[in-house]
Amino acid sequence: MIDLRSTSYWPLSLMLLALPLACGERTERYSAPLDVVDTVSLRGTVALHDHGLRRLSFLTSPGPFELGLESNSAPENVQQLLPSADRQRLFVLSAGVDPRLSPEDEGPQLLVFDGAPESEVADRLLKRFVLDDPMKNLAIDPRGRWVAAFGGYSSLVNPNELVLLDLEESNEVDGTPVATTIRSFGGAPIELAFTDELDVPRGGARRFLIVRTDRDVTLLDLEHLDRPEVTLVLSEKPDEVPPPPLQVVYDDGDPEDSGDAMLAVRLGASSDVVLATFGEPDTEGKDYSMKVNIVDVGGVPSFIDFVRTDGGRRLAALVPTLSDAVLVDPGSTVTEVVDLPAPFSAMRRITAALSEVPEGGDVALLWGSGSSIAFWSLGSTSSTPYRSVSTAQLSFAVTEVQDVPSPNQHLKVLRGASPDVFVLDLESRQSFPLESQLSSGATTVSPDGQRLWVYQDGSSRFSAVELPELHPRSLFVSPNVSSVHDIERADGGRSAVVLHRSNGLSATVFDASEPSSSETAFFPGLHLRSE
Amino acid sequence: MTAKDQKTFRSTLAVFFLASAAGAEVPAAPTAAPAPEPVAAAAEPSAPAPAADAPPPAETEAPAAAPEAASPEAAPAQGSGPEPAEPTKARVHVVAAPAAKAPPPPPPEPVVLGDAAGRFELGLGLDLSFLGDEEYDLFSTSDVLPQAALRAGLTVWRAGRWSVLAMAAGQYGGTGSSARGTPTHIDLGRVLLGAEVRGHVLSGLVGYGRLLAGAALVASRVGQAGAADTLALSTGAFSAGGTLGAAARLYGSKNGPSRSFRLEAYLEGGYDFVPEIGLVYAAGPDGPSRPEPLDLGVLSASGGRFGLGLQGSY
Repeated sequence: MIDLRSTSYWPLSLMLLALPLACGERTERYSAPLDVVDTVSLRGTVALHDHGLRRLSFLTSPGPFELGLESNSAPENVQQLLPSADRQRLFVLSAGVDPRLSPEDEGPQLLVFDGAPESEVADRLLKRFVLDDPMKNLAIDPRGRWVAAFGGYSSLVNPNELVLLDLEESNEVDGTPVATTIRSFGGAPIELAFTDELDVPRGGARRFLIVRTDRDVTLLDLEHLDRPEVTLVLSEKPDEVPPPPLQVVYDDGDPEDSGDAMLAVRLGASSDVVLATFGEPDTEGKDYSMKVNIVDVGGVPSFIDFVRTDGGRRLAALVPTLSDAVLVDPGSTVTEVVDLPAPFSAMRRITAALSEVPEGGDVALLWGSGSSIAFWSLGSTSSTPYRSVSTAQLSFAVTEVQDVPSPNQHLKVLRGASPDVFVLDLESRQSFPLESQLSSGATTVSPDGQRLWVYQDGSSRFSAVELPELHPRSLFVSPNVSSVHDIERADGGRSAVVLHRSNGLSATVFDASEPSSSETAFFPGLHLRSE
Repeated sequence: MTAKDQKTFRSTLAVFFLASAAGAEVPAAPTAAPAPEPVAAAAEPSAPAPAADAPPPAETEAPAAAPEAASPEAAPAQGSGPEPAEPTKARVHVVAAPAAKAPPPPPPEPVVLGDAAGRFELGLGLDLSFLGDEEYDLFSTSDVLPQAALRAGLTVWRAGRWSVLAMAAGQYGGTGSSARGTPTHIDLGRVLLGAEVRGHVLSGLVGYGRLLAGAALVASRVGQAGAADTLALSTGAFSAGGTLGAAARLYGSKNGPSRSFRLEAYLEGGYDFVPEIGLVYAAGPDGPSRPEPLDLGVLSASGGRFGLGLQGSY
């Protein structure tokens, strides 16, 4: 007979020994936390950056009430996730593995993904730029050719180094970054902006990269990156810290005149505005020289822009402390003051949004801290400045003006601290209130210009407003709304993808053209799906 | 056998069972005992002949008369007849009154390998199924699915130390976890039929192999139990499995074919096959409107298994 007294614990011991062998590591797909998920609306997809899973997914809508999911591994240590101006592409700037101890460790890079409803390239990857060192910020060319990375991420950073990435350099996926360091006068880049083509006295029209630091402005010739940059030092005394430049605007001037392209710089806490003209070069080998003028506009301006008036090109400066607008003739630096009915602090030219371009000058929309807006007709400014401004009263102070794409570009969506929304018709110069029952609200204008989506994060009710009829449709969805994305379908139609963040990540798909709560499709568990 | 003898025999038998359960050898009682039960006809020839080991039956002489009558004065009363008989010398056997004897010891347990046909067995234990499939991580932080195992068998055939059982078995286990903050749970049940072949290799130790096949039922949910937006799936599948194991007697007769209760502990390992299960979840009627199914891939519930438990038979 077997004496079990000494072996009675063997089975249990064996079982306990077997348990560790059975405890394999759980797949990250289910163990990763679900915390931040960044979303970016693109033309035909919604990009989701799942921080916990380090996954970059693209939600598409192949057909009505359909939702597709394409997932890729996100690059390591994503710093920026930005769409192109036309929402055709997604730019992902990453810092890579830190510290990078083996050649297999992923390095810093910029990836460019396709935002089309159906991508013809593998993993949607259009371009990849491998960077030598991690960068923190991106500036994106609104015309789609350039991307600039700046601002370091390492323990030792050259703050004045810019890495330029030419998206049209070749058809190869792997691109070549071009690094350049601008001269430093004690500052570091804060903002980069790509200009349109500016005609200069020699060498023809070209585009520039404007680098705004905390004390000067630098111009980089994008056609000749090998040439030294031009810096506008905004102080006359070398040991004096100038007021910081807050805004830089540019204008090409007369297309027939290659010597009138101009920059204007608004300074902080200063009534001076700097005008810089691309004049004839003063030395051989240069294509232009910057001629600088300083104009006092009477008070600290809050906004500047070049405008066309019946008297020609002017630099308009809004001085809210005086409730004035000042028009500066850039040639003579003569100023003309236009009294405004309210202290407007922001402005946008709306001439291009009108079906009939007014003769003689631009039309600008003004808004500020008050609850009124104004249309400023610059075509009648010089002769009858007091008649050039017409106002409209709103129920709140405007903080944001959203453009509506064609064919309803004559509409503007006005937002403020109130959940209410105003839709402004620039043609009729009328504003239409949309009263909201939400405590706060977000608005998304559809890229086709046909709809306005009004929703609140965490609410089950949201609305679609048909444009230009302003016909609202109240919609209900469960779980609650997190965000609304109006994307192009693969079949050419449009779908509204409503994302939900309660109990994981899920989505409800509407037909964006005819949204109805009774015709939807709900897609649960997006955070658990692999494809 | 007197009442006292019977009491003594029962006590000895109880000691034997207890000692047997503890694995101790019980020495044969030194006292005389009744003849052992006949050995079953199918007793293993190589097994020690219980009759040879058993002591011969005790012989006792029955007194011709009541022992109390062994007094000379009582003798004349015997043999009186119609004729006066010649006085004869009374023949008196002096028989000592039997002293109080020790009860006969129980016979030594015959050691016979094998089971009798018709023996019924019931087992209960714990199975640990090892599921290494990645999709199982949806429900568990380990690769183990603990299951309760219940099985019943009937010995349908025996040849020497070999026997075959018809067997029905059931397994049920469940586990749950949180996948990226979403509660998940899976239940797996199986009902199987098949056969088990046993080889009685030593007294008290049996090895076996088992093949079973039947149906598996999988029920799972993604979401909080009872919540309106919880997704669920329920599906059935074919299942089969093979097992190798051993059982050791804890209690019961060494005489395998004897019809008496026997308790054994078993330890076994095997492989269970379940076809791949599509993890396609659907929302309930109270959930979001017009939900699309949630497809989380395919779960392979096949894998190795390790089990232990107790089985009793009669």
